[in-house]
Amino acid sequence: MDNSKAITVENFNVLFNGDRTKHLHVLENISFDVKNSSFVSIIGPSGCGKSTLFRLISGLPTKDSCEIGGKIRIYGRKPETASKNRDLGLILQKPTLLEWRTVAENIELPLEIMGYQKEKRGKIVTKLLNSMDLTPYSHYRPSELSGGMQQKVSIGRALAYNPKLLLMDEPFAALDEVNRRRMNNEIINIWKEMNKTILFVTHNIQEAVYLSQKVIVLSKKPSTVYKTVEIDLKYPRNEVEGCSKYFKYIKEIREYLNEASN
Amino acid sequence: MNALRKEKNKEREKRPTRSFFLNKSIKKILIYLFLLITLLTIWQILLEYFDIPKRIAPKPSDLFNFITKEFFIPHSQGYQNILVKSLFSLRDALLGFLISLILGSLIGIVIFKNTYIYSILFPFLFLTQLIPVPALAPIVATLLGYGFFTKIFLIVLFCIFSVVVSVRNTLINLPENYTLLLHSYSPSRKEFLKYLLLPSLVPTLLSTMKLLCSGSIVASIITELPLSVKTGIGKDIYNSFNNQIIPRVWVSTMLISIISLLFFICISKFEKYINKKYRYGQF
Ligand SMILES: Nc1ncnc2c1ncn2[C@@H]1O[C@H](COP(=O)(O)OP(=O)(O)O)[C@@H](O)[C@H]1O
Ligand SMILES: [Mg+2]
Repeated sequence: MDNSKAITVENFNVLFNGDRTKHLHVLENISFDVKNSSFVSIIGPSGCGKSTLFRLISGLPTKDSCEIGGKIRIYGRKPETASKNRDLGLILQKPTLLEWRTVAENIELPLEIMGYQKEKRGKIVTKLLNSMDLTPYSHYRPSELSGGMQQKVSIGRALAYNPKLLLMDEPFAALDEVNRRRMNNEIINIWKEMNKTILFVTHNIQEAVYLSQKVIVLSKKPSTVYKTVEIDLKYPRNEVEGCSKYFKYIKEIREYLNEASN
Repeated sequence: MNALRKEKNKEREKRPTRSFFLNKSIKKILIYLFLLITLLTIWQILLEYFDIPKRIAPKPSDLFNFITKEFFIPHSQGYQNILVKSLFSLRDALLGFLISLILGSLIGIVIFKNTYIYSILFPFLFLTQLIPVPALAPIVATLLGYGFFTKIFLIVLFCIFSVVVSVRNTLINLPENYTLLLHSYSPSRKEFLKYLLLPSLVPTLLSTMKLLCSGSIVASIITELPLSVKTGIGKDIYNSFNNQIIPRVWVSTMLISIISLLFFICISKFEKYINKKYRYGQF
């Protein structure tokens, strides 16, 4: 088993055979890999199948109408197995917090489901709340927090059981520019400090360049990997944001996206 | 942030809401009392003026006479006054209500999970809504007997449809991101049930309970007519009507209305309390 690869996707195809969408080819021969401990973004026009790909990498169930070909491996295992093995932490576009639980209880949720002892759960949650500066909000209800804070809690929840790999599907799409940048810095810190591997889905070019070491550009339906761009900039990125190389990457990816959308 | 909250709470404490509220409600009660007395007086005067007989419309004085006779003058042993009979009807209604809630939720969950069972079961459930329960009563009675169980069965038959439908609708409309997230933690059905499905049913069940308050009492009273249930206010109203004891019919009807209203108010308060405190099923 090749342990340097966190995710490998090989010749992956997805077809939808719905009533209205006969043979809708969404993903076509997608192949890429994500190195262990790296930060990779997937960018593509909306509706190109990013969420579909995300779901399949996460090992989530698919509808009957979904026809799949090819292979996805996470640390050499099938996504479902990796999910059972608690290798995957999912962060969805919506924070998806339970309103009938407090912030602390929401972070505790996966631990409870996975059968951690109560004492251990408490310890983990306290530590996480502390390190994420969420302690003052631990007894708040999700609806009492701003969108950014809610997403932060959902990141905390994903970190609770310490998965190796974080999968994020446009987690900050609903945030304003300032909050998005704040959360971007936050997620980079988490990635560095906790030594995670992150696969980040976005449709925002700035965000992709600001965050990742590698950006995978998908074309429109049926999506293929149009280009892969290695971002050779050092972290923290707010220090290199003004330099011409940074803008060159943004321009390059914008051009690819334009070409891929036509 | 916490400091801000405490500040707010303090402010709330300072506000003289409590006494103000009491004053307001006393005022309200007085107005209602005044209206009631005026109405009764007008009613009494009108009926006396036009000399309308008791068997068509009883005067308030007739009703009061009946009430004193029924409740304040001792009866022979074993006599059940209309309040006791009403409470028997209420008991049956409550039993049917509870069974409908539990059984209806179970069926709702099962037909949500299994579309095959849904397609088989739904026409029958729908049929229970099309056939009026009183019309069905004799048939069920000949099959199951004329007693208590048939009555409960009919109440459940009358109530269960709305529970099943609202439970299923709630489950169908569960936000997909929540089901996916839970699935990523554990694909087991048990965890899904415990952490997502049951909590999200709470507000639905509470509002369905409000709906069933009057429904179950109506069903309880109506089903007493064709059955040979001895104690029940429905049967009593029917018998009194046949014997032309009209004041008794009137007072019984008012009594069961008041009981129904109180039941409804209790459930409403309970609903508000639970929804506010626990926030189950709020997405
Ligand atoms: N269950 C489904 N049945 C049929 N078509 C679907 C289904 N889910 C997604 N699609 C189609 O697949 C395409 C990709 O969707 P999605 O992965 O959500 O795109 P993205 O996340 O990139 O915006 C869309 O055109 C959508 O209509
Ligand atoms: Mg999407």
